[in-house]
Amino acid sequence: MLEIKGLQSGYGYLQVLWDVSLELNDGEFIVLLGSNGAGKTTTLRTISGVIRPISGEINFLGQSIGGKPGHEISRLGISFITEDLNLFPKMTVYDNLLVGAYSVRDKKKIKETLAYILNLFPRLEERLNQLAGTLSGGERKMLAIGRGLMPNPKLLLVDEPSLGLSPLMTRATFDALRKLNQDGTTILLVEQHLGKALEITNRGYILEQGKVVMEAPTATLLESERVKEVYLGR
Amino acid sequence: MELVDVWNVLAVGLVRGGLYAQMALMLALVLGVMSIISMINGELYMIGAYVSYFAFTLFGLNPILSIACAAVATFLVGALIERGPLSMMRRRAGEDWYLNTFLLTVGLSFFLKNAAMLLWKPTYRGIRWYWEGTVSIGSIGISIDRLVALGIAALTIVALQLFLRNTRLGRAIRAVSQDERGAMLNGININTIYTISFGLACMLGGIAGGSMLSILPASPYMGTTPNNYAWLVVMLAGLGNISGAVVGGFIIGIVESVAFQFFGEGWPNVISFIILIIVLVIKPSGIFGTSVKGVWEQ
Repeated sequence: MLEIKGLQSGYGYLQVLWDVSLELNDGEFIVLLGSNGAGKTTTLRTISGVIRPISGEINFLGQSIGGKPGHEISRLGISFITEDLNLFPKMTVYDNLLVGAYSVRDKKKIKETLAYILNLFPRLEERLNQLAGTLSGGERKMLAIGRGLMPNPKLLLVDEPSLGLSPLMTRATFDALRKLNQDGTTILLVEQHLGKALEITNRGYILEQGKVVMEAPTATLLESERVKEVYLGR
Repeated sequence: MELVDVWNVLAVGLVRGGLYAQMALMLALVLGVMSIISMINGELYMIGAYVSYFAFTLFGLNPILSIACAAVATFLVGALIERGPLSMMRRRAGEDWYLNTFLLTVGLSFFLKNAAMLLWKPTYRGIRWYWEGTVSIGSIGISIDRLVALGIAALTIVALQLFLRNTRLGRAIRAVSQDERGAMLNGININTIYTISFGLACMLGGIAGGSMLSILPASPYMGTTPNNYAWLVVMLAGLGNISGAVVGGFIIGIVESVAFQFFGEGWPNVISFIILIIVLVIKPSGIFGTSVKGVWEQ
């Protein structure tokens, strides 16, 4: 589904990613691990078109998307749930979700997706007419994921969903992501909260200083000395 | 003062208020969506007046069509200005955006004024009326043109609010005004939204200029005063606050009309600006500041 080859990217003169290659197959749930500054968020930003790659290839469903503007990439079926969510704080929850469906013209389809999302996050249904800026941290995260699902994306990029959430909320968010994956959405997750992330994903990549240093099924990653040492502190 | 005068003052105030509200809305829209401190509001108003004038006198179109011509023409001029100089500047400006767009629109304003002077000479081009006659409401008589101008102002204001609140494009405009990256990641082409928003704002000015033609004739420098008033109202109401701009526009219109009646011709401006100074000293965020919810917040 998504194939990245030799990607170099960064901000102006500051190059962050050095020759990163990744591959995601249909229906997979992949986690991207790495310490602060390793380039995880930069990878997602480059895929989603927030920043342009310096060089390298990004292919999505057989089409080269490297360097395309963000709105075009979004319309091709990639939703990016950013770390700071980028909600519209002065619009209602309902309007936020409708903006998510901006590129969908079929009203019936929008209704169906909306029902699916409200079923996935019943809390949002209670808050439907409330301004997004007045939601709690957990609800905001649910709204961001819900909004990202409105265009029925084929690939979901999720950046640090557990950031700033209570353990209970983190669990709920991860459960929702797992359910989404089971329902057929391919997910690329960036996460520091390792234990839980490794439980629900199929495969993981480890980034260090802008380079992929390891790629393995998550079961193997859990056992690996490197992960234990660096991330789990054992 | 007799009761008849009171109604007259109110009627004049409302018509003026409608003009100020439209001009202020124009400004609030570009400020809220694109963060542009725009100084060309008055020139779009001027272009709208000229277009309506020529459509009405030269081509003999009916009044509503003449005003519609002004609306279409000013939308296109606005879209061109956005696509041309403004978007070119967006690619370079970075942190100096506010100051740069301010200077750019001041320059454009001079350019348009002098272009109009060159093309159409400084003569006033007005019409006596769109519709001849007056209607009497209760004890006062008001010309049909004024009534229609007020009606058109009210209609455009309400239509704009409904558009921003309830349509797909309107939601996209609000989304861009609140979080550009969020809007882009949801498939919204921000550049398109900028062009449409700027065009719409310019159209508001054009409609105002067209619909007021029989009251305020077209001339190259006619836009200076409405532009000043747009700024006065927006500062009074609170920057970028759409509903506040409308209410503020009508307040200033009525205040001026009352001042004119009681103190005479030279006083309306003085009193409006005294009110502005007092408001800015006491409550710098404007009368409504954050207490009245703008359309962005709905």
